[in-house]
Amino acid sequence: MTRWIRRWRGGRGPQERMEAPSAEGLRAASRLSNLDVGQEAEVFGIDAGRKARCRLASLGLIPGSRLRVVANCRYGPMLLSLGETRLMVERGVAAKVLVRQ
Amino acid sequence: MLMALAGQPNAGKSTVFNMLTGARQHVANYPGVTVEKKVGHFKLNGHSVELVDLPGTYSLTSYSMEERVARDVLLNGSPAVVINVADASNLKRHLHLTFQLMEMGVPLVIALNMMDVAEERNQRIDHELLARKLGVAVAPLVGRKNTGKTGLLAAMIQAAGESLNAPLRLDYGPLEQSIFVLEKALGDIPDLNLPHRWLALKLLEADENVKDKISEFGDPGKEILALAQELSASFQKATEETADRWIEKRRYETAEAIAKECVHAPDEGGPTFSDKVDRIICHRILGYPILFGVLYLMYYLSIELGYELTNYTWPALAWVRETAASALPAEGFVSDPMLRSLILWLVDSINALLNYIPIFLILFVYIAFLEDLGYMPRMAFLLDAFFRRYGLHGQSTLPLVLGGVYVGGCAVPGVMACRAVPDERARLATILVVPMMNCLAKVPLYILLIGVYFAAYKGQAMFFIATITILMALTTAKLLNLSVLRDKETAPFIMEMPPYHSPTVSGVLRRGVERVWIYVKKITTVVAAVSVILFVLMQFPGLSSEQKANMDARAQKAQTAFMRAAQKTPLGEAVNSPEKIDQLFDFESRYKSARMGVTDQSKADGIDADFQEENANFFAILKPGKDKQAKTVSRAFKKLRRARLTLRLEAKNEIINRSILGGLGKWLEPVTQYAGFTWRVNVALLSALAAKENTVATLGALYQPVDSGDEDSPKQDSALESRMARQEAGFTPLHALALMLFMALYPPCMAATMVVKVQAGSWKWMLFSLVYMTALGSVVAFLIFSGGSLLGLTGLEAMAWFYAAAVAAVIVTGLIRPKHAET
Ligand SMILES: Nc1nc2c(ncn2[C@@H]2O[C@H](COP(=O)(O)OP(=O)(O)OP(=O)(O)O)[C@@H](O)[C@H]2O)c(=O)[nH]1
Ligand SMILES: [Mg+2]
Repeated sequence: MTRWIRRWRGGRGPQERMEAPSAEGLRAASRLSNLDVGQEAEVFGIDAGRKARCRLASLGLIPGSRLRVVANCRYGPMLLSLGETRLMVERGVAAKVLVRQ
Repeated sequence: MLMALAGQPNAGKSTVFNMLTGARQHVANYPGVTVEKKVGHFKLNGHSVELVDLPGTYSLTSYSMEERVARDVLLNGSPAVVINVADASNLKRHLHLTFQLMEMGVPLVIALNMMDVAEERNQRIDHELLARKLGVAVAPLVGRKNTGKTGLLAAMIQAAGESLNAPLRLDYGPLEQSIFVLEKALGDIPDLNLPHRWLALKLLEADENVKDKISEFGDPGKEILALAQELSASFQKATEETADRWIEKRRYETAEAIAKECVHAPDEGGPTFSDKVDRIICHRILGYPILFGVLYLMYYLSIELGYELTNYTWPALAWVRETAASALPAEGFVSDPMLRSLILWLVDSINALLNYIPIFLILFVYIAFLEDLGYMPRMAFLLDAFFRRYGLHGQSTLPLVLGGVYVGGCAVPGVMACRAVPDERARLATILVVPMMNCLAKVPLYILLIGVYFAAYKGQAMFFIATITILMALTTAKLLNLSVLRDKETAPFIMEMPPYHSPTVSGVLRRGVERVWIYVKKITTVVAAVSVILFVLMQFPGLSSEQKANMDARAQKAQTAFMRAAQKTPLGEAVNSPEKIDQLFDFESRYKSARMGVTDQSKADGIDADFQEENANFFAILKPGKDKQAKTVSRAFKKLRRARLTLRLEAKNEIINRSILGGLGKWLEPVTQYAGFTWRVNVALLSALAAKENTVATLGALYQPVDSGDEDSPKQDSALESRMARQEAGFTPLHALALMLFMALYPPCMAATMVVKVQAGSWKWMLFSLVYMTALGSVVAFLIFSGGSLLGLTGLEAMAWFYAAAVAAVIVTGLIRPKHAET
């Protein structure tokens, strides 16, 4: 039953952690989707598909950019602030953005 | 001379377009409003200029349709000047596109828009320094207030003349070597009239479109592709960075450096006003009641208040009809002159839709307000997760709401609003399900049927029909996604959230009125044309000569009886011929409409006096008062009136019965009986193809009152509800339920169908939407009626079971996860 509920929710709940960090210095890393409202972080990797990556890049979300979470719809998209730009990103994509605080 | 407007979404390109050409392109505070290029004309320094408004693009890759459209115009249209509209308050990001335009080698002018917003945020922008840095003319602008237009025009004239541009050349550092090598190789290909540096960069980015283009050049092309691949591989090995990411990064670094020098801003980064508002508006819990409130207010204002207003506007429409009726040849005894019937039919059909104007005006003004404020993208944000589960998209919300998610919308604006959905698969799914929503025109039929067959459960039945459509739409959208739409392009939901803008009263009102006007123009022409066709289909070939002779004889008999009765009184002289009798009927109907709605006694007396003066004898027959002899004639007249009415209705009924549409209805009956539809219902449904409003009107004409003669309402002695119940004795709630569900799933009306064609972009999808909805509606109606009869279910039980099945279908289809194309 709980499995069904989790599936219903999309299976990418905030409880999910990323797999073991590849490099030693990335201990503090996490996925963008795990951040809470108000938290700030720096992007250091995006392992989404090319299309999503290009779109994020053209909106200013690239490795090295700093962002802040403005709103978080838990099972839906996130609202991010990057400089003057405000960005909605679907959770599936946010889970593929690696950040450190 | 061709010029183009390019820029990132929501930068104000369409605003500038409207400013230059005086056009009225759609402008709204959300990104992605313009999705196709739009062309306008204006005069610049004596030359006539063709100006193209391009869709907004963040970048110029070939991944999305808008980017391909924009790129195609820029490269192949060879515009004399490209006006790059950039948002001054977000310069850094907008420069990103500017660099790409510069690399494409197009003659550029920068329109630095939204200077007012930048000022509001205390950003001081040194646009002269920016122009020097970029090597391109920069014209500061406030598009919305028309300030800065002269500066922009001057810059455009200069750029169109000899090009003094020496645009900045971005330095790509360690990648420059590879770019240089590729540029040289490209130089060996003849007839390659595209900027080599741009091509080299695109090849290093592995842009599919450019790769295809180069491979067209045969072997040398293939060699270059191989070279590009090799170069980017070695670059990656040396720097641990892919070439495309590096290019992206360099552009950002350069943009940042330039923005730092040209924009003097107080330290940014803290939450802005919009952010603080969005903490609440986009809150994961609070956001939803607010959303509900906004939508509820929309219904309340447009549907409830709008209906209220139609009470005040209807008299104007009724007046038009009256005027037309009195100008046309008068009614005959049994049948009317063709011209009269046709024109009145036309006026009635158009009036039925014009009656909705107050509703649409409020709706469009409200939407324009939300659009300018910037609430639309917030709505998408809140609902995206839920809708995505069913293959729709956050931005499907607005189309569904306009189509009538609850009750009372219209598929035409609903389908039109679909263009804002960026994901092609979700956009098509939305276009295909919006017509399922309960549009305003379906509601009268629901009310009629529920009133007759679910009288004891009105509330439940209304709730059922109001909510069943969205349940079916979600399931259908998902199933379409898994089948016909499976191979359509999807796009991840990544969207810019524009800051709130305060809407201006004049802007919002003007847009509301404009859209109503477009509606009026489009709908009246379509409806006018269709209603004439429908008229012909329902009137021809008309009565047979035998029937005609029979009816004429009966008419004559009734007239003679009346004349004989009148002959015995002094009033006999006034009505001693059939022509005079027709005049009397005309007199009566004019008198009735003059008195209609008049409650003021002295006014009524005035009207009475006028009519008495016009024809004292006729007036005496209508209002005999205490005069004994007049009373006798009046009584005879009442009898005559009843006989005339019966004849007229019989004739109308016979005409429909013999008409092409009636024949079609009967021809379909052997099949439709399994869904519980009789031929009369078929005729009503066929007439609904033109406009759904026709259903109830046609049923009203088909279920004629059989006896009449009541003093006060001689035309409609009994409500359609009771007539239908009486004349379709075999009809059960199960029949009614099948009919209601068929109506809900019925193909979109003519106007909506045309809009589906326009928005989906092909006849194929238009036909598909007609066919699948008819098929779905038939299957559901068949299941309900035949299945229900077989199981011996009552209408209410069938309703409950169907609802349960629909809820189950929504849950089950929600669990199916389609294999996403890799994002
Ligand atoms: N404050 C302010 N608002 C502006 C200005 N110019 C345009 N706007 C508003 O910005 C919003 C976007 O304008 P549009 O002209 O639709 O932008 P666009 O570039 O055509 O957008 P897309 O078609 O989506 O690419 C609208 O709400 C305009 O009213 C300006 O100079 N100042
Ligand atoms: Mg536009």
